[in-house]
Amino acid sequence: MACPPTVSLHSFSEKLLDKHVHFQIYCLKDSCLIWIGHDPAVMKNLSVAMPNPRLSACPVATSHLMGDFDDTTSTALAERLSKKTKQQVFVSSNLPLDYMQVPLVEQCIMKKLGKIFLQATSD
Amino acid sequence: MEVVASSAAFSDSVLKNKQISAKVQAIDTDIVCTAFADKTFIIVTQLGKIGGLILVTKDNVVGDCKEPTFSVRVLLGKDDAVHCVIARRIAAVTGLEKPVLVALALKDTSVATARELEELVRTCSVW
Repeated sequence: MACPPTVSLHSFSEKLLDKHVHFQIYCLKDSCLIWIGHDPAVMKNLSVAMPNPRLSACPVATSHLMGDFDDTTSTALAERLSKKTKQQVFVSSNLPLDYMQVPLVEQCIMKKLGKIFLQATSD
Repeated sequence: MEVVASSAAFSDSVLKNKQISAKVQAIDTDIVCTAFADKTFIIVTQLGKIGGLILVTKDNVVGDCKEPTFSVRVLLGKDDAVHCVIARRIAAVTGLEKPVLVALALKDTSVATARELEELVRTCSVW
């Protein structure tokens, strides 16, 4: 899976559990940054995850870069998305903690990423 | 400095984005600026990647102080003075009313490049 060489922006909104959630994906070379949030659009947390195919004991390395260290949503999402896409993934999740919503958010992102990658390979 | 393409992205009501691609000292450079409610996010990349992340904030000073002071914190990547200075100069373009998160991935860190990057970011105003 590869992104186009230059930065591409993909913004969209979804209604999840009766709440509007906004997404913005910055697609870069072999990496992406995903912002998730409500209105007003703030960027409080930021985490990064890197896949490490050579070290099977630790398939993904994560780091919390910015914001509240108690909120592990960004880190967890980055870790799972990085594992799935085998890319470096930055996640900034700015939603109130809701365990029901997180899997839906992840599903939305994977669906969109699938479309982006498919478009990139067909171009 | 030759501007190749510039586009304004969609949902302006939620997030204001501006993107520009240009040649800086003959190197392809991409700049993306996003205005968040609490931060300005600027990607400056010549490698197509995020590279290092640097957070620039204006310090709160009590009392009379004509010259504002700034804090520069490296969140990710090599902590070297040149990148901090470039990030600080790029951040200063926004007026720094809000903290600025700068993603820097540069092939060339000369003074001429820094000046051109500053000018390009100025044309990408979302603040």
